[in-house]
Amino acid sequence: MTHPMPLFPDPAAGAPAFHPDEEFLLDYAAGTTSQTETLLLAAHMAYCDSCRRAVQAARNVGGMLLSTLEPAQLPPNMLNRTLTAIDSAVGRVDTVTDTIVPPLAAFLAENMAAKQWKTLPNGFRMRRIAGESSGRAWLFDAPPGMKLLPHRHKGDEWTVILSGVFLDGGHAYHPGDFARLEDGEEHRPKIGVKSRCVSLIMVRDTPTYTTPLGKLAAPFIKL
Amino acid sequence: MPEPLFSPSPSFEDLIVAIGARQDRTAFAALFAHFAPRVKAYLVRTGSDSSGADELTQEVMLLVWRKAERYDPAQANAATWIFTIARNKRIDKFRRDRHLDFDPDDPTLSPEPERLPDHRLEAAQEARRLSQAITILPEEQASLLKLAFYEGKSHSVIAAEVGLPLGTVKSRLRLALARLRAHLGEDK
Repeated sequence: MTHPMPLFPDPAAGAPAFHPDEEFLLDYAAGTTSQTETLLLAAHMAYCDSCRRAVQAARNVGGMLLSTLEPAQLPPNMLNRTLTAIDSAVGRVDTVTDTIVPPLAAFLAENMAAKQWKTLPNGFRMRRIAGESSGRAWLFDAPPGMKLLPHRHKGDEWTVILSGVFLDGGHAYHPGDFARLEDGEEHRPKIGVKSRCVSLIMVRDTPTYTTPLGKLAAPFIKL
Repeated sequence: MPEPLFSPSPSFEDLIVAIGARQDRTAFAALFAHFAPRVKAYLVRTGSDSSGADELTQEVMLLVWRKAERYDPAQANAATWIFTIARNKRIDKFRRDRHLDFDPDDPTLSPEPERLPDHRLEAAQEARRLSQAITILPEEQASLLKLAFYEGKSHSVIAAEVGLPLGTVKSRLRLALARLRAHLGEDK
């Protein structure tokens, strides 16, 4: 079975209905989110004008605070050194090494196309795509109508939907939506019946399965 | 200080535009004199040692020169634009693995941002209003914003270090942002 990458961002998606809390957008603007958090926030913002604007507004705060900083002492020849560096770089092709990088869409498509996934007999598959001690990111690709085993997380869990419908806690999440489950909450998400659902998940720790079946299955679906 | 009717010197935004349009070295020197020492101060406060900060500051100013051509004053004022370059440089420096950095403003992945009339406020004017706004924030809110931006601490780290409940830190930050927005006339 082939699994094409759903369009990212899905041009048919409306404005997301579920957003990250504002203080995470502030962290993002200040540059204090972890790589995994950055990945999920950026995926949401690819869909969300209003969160992008909130980040821009928070960056303005950063710019304003930069202006109010007490200037530090620079070495006396610093301007000339910088101008020399500019001259030695003149004429070379644009090699701006800012953080602008493989766009998110290409990164996700590459991971969707990768061969190494953990696949379960029911057609559910998952692939770890990023991680650090404070959080790990996975791509989940779940078949229509699938019910996930009830489980509980230590630390919060973030989800960004990339395609299909994800049902959890009485809400239906669609592409671009950002779902956050607080530390210790138990949930049993379901996948909408019409199509597969691809989502980006960040977990802080290995979830605890709360039913006998879940405990049995846990070693096979270890996050 | 009364506001002059005519700006006697070009704004920082004008300087960046001049650098982008005609590689104006005088404009670059003026921009450098104001921002380079502050960029260094920012880098030192967020964890670089002095000589490392000198080197990074030079790289940031080099990027300012190279990216000036793509600068759009309608999108960001000069301080915000330079802050963002410095922030990205700092993240770059401390992350071993670069390939996971993403730029949500990357036009290849973002839908066209909606340009509302409110957001076309002249950049310099907006910067001025914002710097007034920060002074009206209660100290307990302003100090948290400074920890976030000056010390590079996430809101959960701030909560742990300041010894305030996470909920209190969150609500103070939200109040601060809401106030700043209200002052800028974005909450209508």
